[in-house]
Amino acid sequence: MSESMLLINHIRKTFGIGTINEKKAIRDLSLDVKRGDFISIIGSNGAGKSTLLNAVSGVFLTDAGTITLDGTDITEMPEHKRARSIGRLMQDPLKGTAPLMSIEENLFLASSEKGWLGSISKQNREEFRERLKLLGMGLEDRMKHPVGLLSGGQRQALTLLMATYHPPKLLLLDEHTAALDPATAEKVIELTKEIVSKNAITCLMITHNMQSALELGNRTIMMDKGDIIYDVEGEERKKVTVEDLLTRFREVTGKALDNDRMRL
Amino acid sequence: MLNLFQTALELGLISSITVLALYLSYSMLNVCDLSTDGAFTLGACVGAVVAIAGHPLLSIPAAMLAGVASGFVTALLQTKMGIDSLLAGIVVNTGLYSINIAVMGNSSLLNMNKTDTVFSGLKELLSGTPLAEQYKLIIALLAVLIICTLLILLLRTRLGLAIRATGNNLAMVRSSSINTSVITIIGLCVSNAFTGLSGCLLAQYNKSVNIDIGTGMLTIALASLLIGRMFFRKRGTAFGVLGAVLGACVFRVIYTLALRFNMPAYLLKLISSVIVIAAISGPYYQSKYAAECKRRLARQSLLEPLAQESGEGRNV
Repeated sequence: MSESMLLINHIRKTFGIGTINEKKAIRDLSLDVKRGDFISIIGSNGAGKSTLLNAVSGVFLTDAGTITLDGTDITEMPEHKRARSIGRLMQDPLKGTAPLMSIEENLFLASSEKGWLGSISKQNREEFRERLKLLGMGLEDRMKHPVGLLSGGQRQALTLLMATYHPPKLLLLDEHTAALDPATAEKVIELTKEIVSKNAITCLMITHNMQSALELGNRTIMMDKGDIIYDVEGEERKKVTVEDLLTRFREVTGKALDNDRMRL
Repeated sequence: MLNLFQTALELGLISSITVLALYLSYSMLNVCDLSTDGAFTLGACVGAVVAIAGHPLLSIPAAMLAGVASGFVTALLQTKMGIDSLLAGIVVNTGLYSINIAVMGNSSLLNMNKTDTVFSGLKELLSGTPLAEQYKLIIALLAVLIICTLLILLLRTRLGLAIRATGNNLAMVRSSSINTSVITIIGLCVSNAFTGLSGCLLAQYNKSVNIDIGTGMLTIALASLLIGRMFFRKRGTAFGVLGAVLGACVFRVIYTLALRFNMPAYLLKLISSVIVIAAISGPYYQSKYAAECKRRLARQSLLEPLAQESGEGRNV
């Protein structure tokens, strides 16, 4: 067991090479994520935050560099194979669940239990009920309802449950509360904290909320123009304030941290 | 009249197996499999050739396997070879035309008047019993029952759920550990096996097969599927399967009745086209109309508070 869970080594990604829309989304980025790290990622629009998570989860292959997950080189591995050890939540709550299928059917699919020809048993239902209770949203009494009837917050909580049904080696959260109303977002953040700490899941979370970026997890990185410009953790991080982050950003990039959705 | 009704029911049941195939590929997997016509004919030809060779029972698995092979190619083209899903179906359908003629031994017509088929087999078995005249209905019913049970069971398994999820939210399945290509391949193999079986049964029922036996089958089956959808709206997959069978029978009975009232037989395909158009564009216009009503309401409720506010302003 090495100490690193995720080792990103000088990766690069350029979109639309040779066209007028050529965009260097990630330039020579390296990151060493320790086992059990909970890293919050901040940065302005187009800084490459989502591109970084997409590169790790295998939505596309990187142009250069290597990605190693728990000692295994996953640089060339297809997305669905990486998904066995990487859980993912998107900003859009509609993306993580199948709306026409019931809650229990969605969960059964995520549980990947009993092989391809197995079907939902009484025991499975008991298990699902127990887990749904933890969400505190009353979903345990609506297991046969189609997921399409749930609210965005409920769907995102369910997606979280599905993504962590078998605790993944790595959990990627791409602004997973940005599309929710503040109270629901708060609730989903609480659930995230609970589930991640209970299972000691290594986690990367993109957020636009600077305050929660500093409160959640044990490490914060700031990105700009496809690279990491600030990386703080441990004791040092406890002293950092939102004001410090903004100053830091201005120092490094020579401009104000502009972001239409940034919340201080 | 009763006899006519029974014939309609038998034909409806046989074609309902193709409708069940479409229920799997079109409703669940969300792939419109345009190779259906060709796969239906392929099943009919292969089944007929095997039956003529003296193996009426073997003709069933042979036709289904031929369907699997055809579905496998269609699925491979769209998942691994970068061909658009609609185009893949069309290309396979065209290719199958030649293959089907080759299967029938460079002929576009095979006669099974003196051939032992699954139908004639049961007819002999039942001769002398009260059920002797129902042999066609019994085979059609039996086949539909078996396929329905298999399909309902399949849709409950994790594989079936993966097929449904792939059709329902591709983005979700892509980001899960499920290989969507494999799911699409399996789904189309199973659905085309059903289509092949359906063709095989119709050929033996008619005691002949010609190259046009499957022409328009996709549209007819789609019309049946959409009619069936009206019976059990949003009631789960078991009801969906039942609705598909019911839709096929209703379609066939209505068609038979129309023939009774002197509708020319050649109108069948035009009518099935019109049904598909109506069943798909109907809900489309319905939702457009509903959205328009909502917009109108929203505009009104936006204006109302403004009017109130200005009224209050004057009071102060």
